[in-house]
This record gives sequence, structure tokens and C-alpha cells, in this order.
Amino acid sequence: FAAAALLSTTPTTQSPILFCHTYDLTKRIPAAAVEAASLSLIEIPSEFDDGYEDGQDDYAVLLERIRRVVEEDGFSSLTPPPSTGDRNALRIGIHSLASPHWRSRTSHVSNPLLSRLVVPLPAPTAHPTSHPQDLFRFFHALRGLLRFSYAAAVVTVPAYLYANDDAPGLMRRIEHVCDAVVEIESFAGSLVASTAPYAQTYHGLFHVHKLPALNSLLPSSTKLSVLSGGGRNNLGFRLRRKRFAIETFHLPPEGGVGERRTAPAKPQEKIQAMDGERNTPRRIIAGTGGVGSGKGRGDPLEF
Amino acid sequence: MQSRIPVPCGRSEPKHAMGYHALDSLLAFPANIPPARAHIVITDTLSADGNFLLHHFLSNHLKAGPGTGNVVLVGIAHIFNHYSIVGRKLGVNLQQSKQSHRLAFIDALTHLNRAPSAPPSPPSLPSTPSAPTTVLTRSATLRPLHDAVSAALVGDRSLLILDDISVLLWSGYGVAEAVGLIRALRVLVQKRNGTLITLLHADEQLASDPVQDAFVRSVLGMAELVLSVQGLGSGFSRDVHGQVNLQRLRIYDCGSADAHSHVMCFSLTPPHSVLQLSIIHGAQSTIHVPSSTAPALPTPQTLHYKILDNTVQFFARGVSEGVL
Repeated sequence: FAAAALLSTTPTTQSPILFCHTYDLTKRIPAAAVEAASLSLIEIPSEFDDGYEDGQDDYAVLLERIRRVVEEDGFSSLTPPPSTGDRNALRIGIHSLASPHWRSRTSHVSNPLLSRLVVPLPAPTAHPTSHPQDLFRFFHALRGLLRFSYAAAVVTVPAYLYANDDAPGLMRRIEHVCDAVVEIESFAGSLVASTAPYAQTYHGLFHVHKLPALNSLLPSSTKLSVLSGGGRNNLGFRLRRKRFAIETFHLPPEGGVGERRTAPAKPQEKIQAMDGERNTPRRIIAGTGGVGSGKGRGDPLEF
Repeated sequence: MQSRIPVPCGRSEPKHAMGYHALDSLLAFPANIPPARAHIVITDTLSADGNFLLHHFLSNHLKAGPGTGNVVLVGIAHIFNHYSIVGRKLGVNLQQSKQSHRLAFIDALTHLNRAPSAPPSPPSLPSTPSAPTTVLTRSATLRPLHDAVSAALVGDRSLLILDDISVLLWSGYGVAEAVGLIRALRVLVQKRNGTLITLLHADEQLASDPVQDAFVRSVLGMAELVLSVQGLGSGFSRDVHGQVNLQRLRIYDCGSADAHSHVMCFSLTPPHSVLQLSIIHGAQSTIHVPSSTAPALPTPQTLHYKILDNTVQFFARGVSEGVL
């Protein structure tokens, strides 16, 4: 993230609250910002590490570590605020929970300004002692922990691993116990979608399955969000080199957006059109998509 | 259908879309208190949360005068603060009710699934002796929950709300134990002529799991009234957030008093109803009593709803603000 994005999330009383941030993905966080922030990295020991206990429940260990940071670093709302003054907010990021891979990184902890927990995750479909309810219990316990803390957690889950019938409804159960659920569906994974005209403008769909409705009947973003139009707009996303953008999803005009003639070309002139002079407008070619690709790349839907 | 009558302020209020009153008049409970010894089951899905119904029943009971027992609210998915703030919008003060012991709150969210922490927690939690909350911790059985509820129920015509029981099943307690808990709590409440309201999640996507399916069917089998909250089949709409299906059931007790050999007979509702129930208890037999031999049940009713900040509008299908 750019350094500006990090600092702008610290709320001030005068400036308006920003809901949209621009993250330039090509820029790296300056080392100074990383040093100034307070980061806690949680690693769950695997069978090859020293701290490993036989038969441990990785999710319970994770929860315990998170709980410790919340309670000991002053993020719990049940404990009085620290004497130094303001509380900080804690951001918890858990990457790829419930994935079968383990990623290890080095850990370092430093001083307070903005605290963040980053957790690379293991897990345990291969783990002998994990049961389907362990994952659910983790999420439920995390919910209970967060309710009494000044913290927010974002967890990513490779849900496609659980799309089969071995664990029916596992993801849905977890979605019920989370406050917000979003799903990113890429067009690249679908043959139909990746050749569709809208795939040229968007890289995928951004589904919002659930919105947080804490302390209210209605999620507040339903009223406030212009992008989702009260929840009825479909959302798509675009991933470029420098930014990840979520936009309202609109289908492009029917038939493509390439240049077109008003008078249709006759089919027998098709071959001549392809070899014709350059100052005639490009002909609309009847037939399959591959035919019209004489000069440059033709729009496969033009006909 | 009534046409809109323009109101001088420039914004017309559709007469057919009232707040929670519309639901109350449909349910037609005397004094808006559910009947004694009734079990009301609310089912919902991910896209349509049934919480708004719970808040309503809760506030109705608290607004009712003396003559009703207390309310025991078991928060398995939400904390007290959530109900309290929403309750304020609906016109009830839950903090006050808790202090006057009209309401007892059991917290089953904060600690239920957390392993007991080895080191003791730092500085003592601020205590509020005037409004104690029972906090449940992780245990091997659901017995502590049962005992906590039993201790909290006071008076005749009390109301017990469980929000929500799917979490109990998904936390690893077996189907038999979870269903057994509901049955036991139902007995507790019935002895006090009270009402039990349970909320559970009944998404279609979950139905292929036999354990989940058995749980849902078993709990539905113990209900007198079922309110099914679902999203619209046609997708999300700004004007209609979902639909509520009201299904009244009746149970004929044709078995012995022993709970284990209890045979429940069910009147099947007319074929076009949403819920089809078949219950297998004790000696495996599914008993269907065709509706022609039993007194006709009220047909299920469906309402569309739209949630607002401080109320929920209910209207008949197809007559929402945007349509008319």
C-alpha cells in the first residue's frame, strides 16, 4: 500500500470519513511506515516446529493468540483504556484460512501507532485432529471476541476447495456467523465468461452476500452506498497493474463496440472486403468470428 | 387494494403497508402476546435474516402489562448491546428491563466456543451488579445452558427466546443433544404456560447435509407456528427485502406421556404449502393425517416485507410501494 493510505485510516475529527481508498499496487510500503506501525505476526507451529503440541487444534491456537493480543495490548472494550490516552484500533488480517498450505514468515513486533495482526495460515484438512466444527467454532469464538474489542478482522477463505459434497454447507454455516461476506468471482475461471464481451471491461464479479447489521435492523451500507444502489446493482471488479477497482457492473452494448457500417455487406463480397483498400470503412462480415480478422483484430461479435 | 392518498407534506404513505402492526394483526394474538405453551419457530436464510421478527416479539412482550412473566433471551449469535440498541428504536428499554428483572439475558456468544484461557485475564472486568448477565462457557454438554435458562425463568406466561439454535448444532453438539435441549426447554416453558421462540437457519444450500436436515425437521416438528423468512425468488429488490411465510401447525398427542415413545401426528397442510413435514419418532413410522380427516388448518400466508430503520413494513405480495 502507499504510505498515504495507511495514515489516512487514522480518523481525525475534522476531515470527512473516506470510504474509498486508492491503493497503488506497484508501490511498496516504506520501511519507516512499517517500523512505525505495530505489527504482530502470528505463526501456528506445524509438526516440524518446536512449539508444536501433539494433537493441537490450529484454530484454537490461533484464536488464543489473537485473544492474547486483543486483551494484552489494550484492544478489549472490557478493560479500561490505557493511561496514555487514546485507544488504537486493531486490524486483523487472516489470509487463506482453511487452505491446505502452510506459509511461514519471520515475525517481528514493534511500537504502537496503528496495530495490525497478520496471520499466514495453515490448515488442517490434512490435520488429524481437525473436525468440521473446529473451523466454525473458530469463527463463532472470533465473533464473540471481536464484539467486545476495538478490532476488526478480515479473513479470506478459498471457498472453492469446499464446493464439493464432502463438506456440504460448510461455507454457508461460516457465512451465517460472519458479519459481512463478499465473494470475488473471476471470469478467467469460466470459459463462457472469459470470452464474453463484458470480460473486456471487467475481470470478474464482486458479490456481496451479506452486509453487517450490528446494532440495527438494516445494514447501514444499504442506504448509503451509491455504488450498489441500495443493493440492487451487480458489481464487477477490474484488476490493473496499479489498482483494484470495484464498479457497478453494466453490460456493454449489444454487438460489441467496434466501428460499424450502417449498410450491411453482401456475403459474396466478403473475400474482397478483406483484401480491399484501406480507405473503405471496415466491412461488417457475416459469418463466424474468426473470418473477420483480416485487418487487425476484429470484434468476434460483429456480423 | 387501496389507492394512495396524497398527504399535504408531499410524500404519500401507502395505506396498505403498515409497520409491525400488520404482522400483529395477521397473527392475531390476544394482546399481542403469543398463546400459552406455544413454540414458535423462525427460520431464515443468509440472504434474509430473521432477526427482525425476534426484536418484534421481544418488544411486544416487554410492552405488555403485568400478567406476563419475564423474558429470557439467550444470545448465541448476538450480544446484549445489539438487542438493546435495536430495542430502543422499537420503543423498549432493555437495560431498564434487565435491571428490573423483567428481562434476563444469557450470553452464549462470547465464551461458548472459546477454550478456557490458561493465564487469568488481566484487570478485573467492570462488574455491574445491578444488571447481571449470565455468561456461558464451553462445556462438553448443553446441560449448563439448560440449567441457566431454568434458573432464569420467572413467573407465569414467560417468554424464552433462543437466538439462534443452529449455532449449537454447528458447534459440534450432536443432533440428538441439540434437539433434546429444545425439547427440554419447551417442557420447561410449557410448565409455566409460557412461549418458546427459536430461530434457526434453514438455507437450501444446507439441506443436503443430513445432520442439518434432521435438526431442522426435528425442531419444526415441535412447533405450533412457523415463520419462514426467505429472500425473493427473483433476486434482490430495493423495495422488498424478502418474504415471510406463516404456517400454523397443530399437534395431536396420540401417544403415551413418555417422551421417548411419544408419537406425534401431524396434519399435513394442503399441497400448495411451502413446508412439508414428516416426523419419525420412536418406533419408526411416519404418520400422515390427510387433511380431509382432520379439521382444516389455516392455509399458509405469505407476506412481503421491507426493513426500515425503526420498523419493518409488511404488505401482501405484489403491492409494495414501487409496484403500486
